Amino acid sequence: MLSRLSFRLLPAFSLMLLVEPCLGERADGAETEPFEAFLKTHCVGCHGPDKEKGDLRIDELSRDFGLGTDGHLWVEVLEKINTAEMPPEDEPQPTGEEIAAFVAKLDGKIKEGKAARMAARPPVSHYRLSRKEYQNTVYDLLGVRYDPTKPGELNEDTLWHGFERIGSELSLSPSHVDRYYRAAEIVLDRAFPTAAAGETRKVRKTAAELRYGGGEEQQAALDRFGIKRPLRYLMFPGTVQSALSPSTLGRTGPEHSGLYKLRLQASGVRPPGGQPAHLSIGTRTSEETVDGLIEFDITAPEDEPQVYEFEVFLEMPATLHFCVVATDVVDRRAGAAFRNALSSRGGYIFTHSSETLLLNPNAPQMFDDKGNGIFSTVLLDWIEWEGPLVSKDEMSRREGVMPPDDATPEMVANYLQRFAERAWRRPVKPEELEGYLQTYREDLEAGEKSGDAYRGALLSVLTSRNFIYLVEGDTVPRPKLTNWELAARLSYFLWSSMPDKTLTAAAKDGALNGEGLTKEVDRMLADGKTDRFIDDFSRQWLQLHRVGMFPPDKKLYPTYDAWLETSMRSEPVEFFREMFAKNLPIENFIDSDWTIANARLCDFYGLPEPKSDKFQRVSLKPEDKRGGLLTMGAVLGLTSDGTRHRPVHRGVWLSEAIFNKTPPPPPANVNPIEPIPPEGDKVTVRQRLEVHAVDKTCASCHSKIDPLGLAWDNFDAIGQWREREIVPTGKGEDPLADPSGVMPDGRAFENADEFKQLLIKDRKTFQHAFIEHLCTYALRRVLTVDDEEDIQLIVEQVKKTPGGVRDIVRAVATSELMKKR
Amino acid sequence: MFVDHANRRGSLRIESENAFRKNEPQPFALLPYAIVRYQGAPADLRDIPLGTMMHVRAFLPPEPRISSVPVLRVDNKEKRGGRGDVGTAPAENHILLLEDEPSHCRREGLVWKLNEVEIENYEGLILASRVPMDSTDGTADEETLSFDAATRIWRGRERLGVADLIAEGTWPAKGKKPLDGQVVQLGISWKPTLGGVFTRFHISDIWLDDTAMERSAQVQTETHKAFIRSRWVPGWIDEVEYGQFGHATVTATLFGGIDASLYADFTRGAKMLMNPVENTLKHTEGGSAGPTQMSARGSILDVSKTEGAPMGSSGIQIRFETDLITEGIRPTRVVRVRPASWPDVHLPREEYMRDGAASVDERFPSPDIFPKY
Repeated sequence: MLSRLSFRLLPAFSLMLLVEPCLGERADGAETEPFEAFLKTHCVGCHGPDKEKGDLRIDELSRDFGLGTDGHLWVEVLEKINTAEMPPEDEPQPTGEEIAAFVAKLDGKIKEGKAARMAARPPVSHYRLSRKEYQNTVYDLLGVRYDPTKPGELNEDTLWHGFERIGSELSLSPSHVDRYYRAAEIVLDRAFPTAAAGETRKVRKTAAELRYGGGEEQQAALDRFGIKRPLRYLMFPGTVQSALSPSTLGRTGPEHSGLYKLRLQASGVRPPGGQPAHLSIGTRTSEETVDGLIEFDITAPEDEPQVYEFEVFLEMPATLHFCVVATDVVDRRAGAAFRNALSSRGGYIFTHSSETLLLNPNAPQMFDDKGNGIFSTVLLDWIEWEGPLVSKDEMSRREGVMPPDDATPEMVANYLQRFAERAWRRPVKPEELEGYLQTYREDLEAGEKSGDAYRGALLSVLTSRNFIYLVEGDTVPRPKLTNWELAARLSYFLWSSMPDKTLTAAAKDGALNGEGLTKEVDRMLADGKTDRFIDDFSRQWLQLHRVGMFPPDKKLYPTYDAWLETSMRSEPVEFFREMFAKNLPIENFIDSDWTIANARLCDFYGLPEPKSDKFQRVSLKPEDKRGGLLTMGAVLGLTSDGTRHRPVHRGVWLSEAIFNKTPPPPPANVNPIEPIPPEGDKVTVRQRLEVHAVDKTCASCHSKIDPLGLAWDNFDAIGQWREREIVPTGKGEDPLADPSGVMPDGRAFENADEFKQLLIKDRKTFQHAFIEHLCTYALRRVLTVDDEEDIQLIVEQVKKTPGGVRDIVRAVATSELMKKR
Repeated sequence: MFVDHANRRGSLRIESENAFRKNEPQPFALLPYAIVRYQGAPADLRDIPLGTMMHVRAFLPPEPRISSVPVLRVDNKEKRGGRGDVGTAPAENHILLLEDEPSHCRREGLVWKLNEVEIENYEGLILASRVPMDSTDGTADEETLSFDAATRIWRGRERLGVADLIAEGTWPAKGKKPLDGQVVQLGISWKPTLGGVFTRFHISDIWLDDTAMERSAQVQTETHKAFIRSRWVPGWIDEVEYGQFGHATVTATLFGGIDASLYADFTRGAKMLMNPVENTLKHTEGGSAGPTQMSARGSILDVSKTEGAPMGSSGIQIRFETDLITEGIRPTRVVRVRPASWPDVHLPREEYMRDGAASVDERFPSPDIFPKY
């Protein structure tokens, strides 16, 4: 109980200690500085010693932005100036440039102050594991698969500019603590089941069994008409059909939960001009959708079916469904009668696209006279489930955790200590565990079985702050991490999980410095677990959680569907994986003549269908209009509102991701862009934005942000290329998109390609920002001006290398900054 | 005999020289484009009373695999049946043309000339010859046909019985009377006759003049029109041009033998429905609606007519555009179509298949239903 209380109180406690004197600035003697001069000229007259309008004295507001005492009042000052509400009309007015400079300065001060508060480190810092990290850690610790993102499990992590591991954001409420108890119980139940674990079973269901209830009647029909080919299961887009039911494998209960191997043989039919057949297997969410556990395209042709194999964790008894995902579906006309006709068991006997006699004549036609598909369909031959499977590797992680039933108290204490040291990622003193052992002994005396009593102790270890948090520091402040803390930081940076045996040994031996550190980092970078870094960092850096946040309007974007969205979200991640694996220079993020795409994305981008159904490297030509991150569907789409593209949002995203600069927020109550009246001429969003930005209070910021977003005007809200912007209202022809612009520093560009080249010329700025993003991710905190020196050291280090993505990650991992608290 | 009107099949006894009452009824199926005529007008099997003497033109099963009647050896008509004569069980059991006597005579330009009536107790025999309408040849073969009190006699707008003719003195109550070659149309049926005569036909109807014949044909035509409006016009698919995701342009030829006023409702630009059916022309219905529910819909792009089309075809071709082509709309497959302006009616249960619940045997009825003798 003590441990629970202590970590709940810590975040509040830490806030009280936050003071960053280095950022504090006094107004005294600084009136010649433009910021103070602006206040004196335009504000203090009415909000100062002479007058105190609105009970506000700006001259007395705290200039210590790090402390944040008057933060809310400063935000109000910012708003009033930014909206031109102040100074009043009858007072001398500042110029647009003066307003822009003041707003930028004040916004910068507020942001720096906030960053300082978020980055502040008390003597002991606690950085909670994100859900992903918790998931990885329990797997690496006990070989247990646990999904904390499922409903009812751990709360969603609070994001800060996409990052889901910023310590100051990850608080823990009492209800949240209960969820950690529940999670730990599930993890322990799976690792050490109290009931006998369900034995591994392997069940294959043929198309006849899955689709035709055994298929005897259908086979008789085939025999009558002399059809030799076997029954196949034709799955069409627009309906959800059963893949796994609680009875598929026989009697199934929670003891059968675990890892399952799924194999299936299938072909995919892609209609001319349509999408590759995509199969989603998961939990039904609606008539047309499943929440897919398994998502894949099937490109094997009808006469050459392929066997597909997956591993999936199932909590039994489970019900899963198939769903063929495509945007062109058999619609719901006639009360969905046509869909039903396709799925009716009696009337639709499918063997091959050339054998149409026994298909329901009233069902929608699925193949034309040449055997081409009309819709994207999947032809399934069989599906096989095998599980629950536990690998030797997973089992080995549980060895030596549970003491034998006849263990002496000393042995039990030793077992617990060994486990706690792994779980807490550091040496553990016996007295830290004494409370747990005391409870263990009391439970034994109360008649509990030794195994059950010991589980209570394990539960305490897994719900301790030492497990749920990365704990750095001591009660006596120190500037550097210990070897143990460094090992954990590195491990969570590069593997999103706990240190392995080798890294732990290196920490124990004090070897994490100099060449020892480099050697360990190199070993870690070569480990497959870096895939977790690639997945997590790229998602967070590029704010990919925003992809699909505003679902595109189905009428405007009929080709957009869940699988396209999933594919889009994966592209930047897979691109990053390739960049990392090949150690490619970071300019490729800006522009490249390749990308990593699957069949669905190739279809979306108008590229030739790739050979396999997996994500793979594909070449891009200039006429494809793609290359690098910035012209990916995900990036172009995540900044849109589902209806139209948002150039300003695109600019803000680019500023954050590429330059690590967050522009000042728009003023409150800003007038929206005027809609085009029906009798008005069709104009682009850009043209309407330009009208809006004439306002001097708007123009100053827009001139900095807009060029970064306008360069992508040839791409619509879901990232499709266009020459003309489709304008739904107004008269006349749709106007041509205009991607030209002028950078804030005056350099002009005509289109996205030229803009990219300008960005590549700013490679150093981008590299600096990229390093900052990596450091934010690794250190789990917001950076401040205090970190600049260390960042510069990393930049210098990178200069000594070819400068590829892996080189940069390596330089961050081995940097002095990584070793600092 | 046997009629399975819902599946457009049945059995009939084939005329022979000997005691054809002993001949086994021979199963037949109507070809999807078969023409059925009764009393000089288009008809359906259900319009024809059992026992009516019909003229038949039939072919070998075009698709033996899905024949709804037994498929016989090709040379079966050369064989002598179990109790019957040679030629009473031909393999040509798929009928293109099925017509009763007046329909046959009107199509062929024939009339009956009545030579003599012999009557007693309101029944008797008539001697008559069937000759071309404008024939003056008196040497035609004479047939002896029976009649009785149920025989209907149509004159102008009147329907009379034998008793009426006796009462007005046209026919004697008893004895013979020469009829001098009176020109009529006869409806012919068959019924068992006393005295070991098994090959004699019976007169069900006598149309004494053209007005009488036209009135009967008109009544049957109205029956037919109401039937086709509710069951739709059959046709088959000539060609499909595919668009994307179910869009298609379909060319179909409407089958023949249907009243011209019904074809006239298929006009360019009109909305139209097309429901694939099997060779039985049996519709499919959805869960709660009629055949309309499971039809492909669209507009007629074009209507054209080819003169001199063979029997079974109307020569009328329609081009139709739909946004969701259904499985049965493939060249050579059979469909039923209706203009959207026709009423949307539901059919009796035996006349439709439930979508998705129909068994293969329902779609392709098995010949096993026919009894073996």
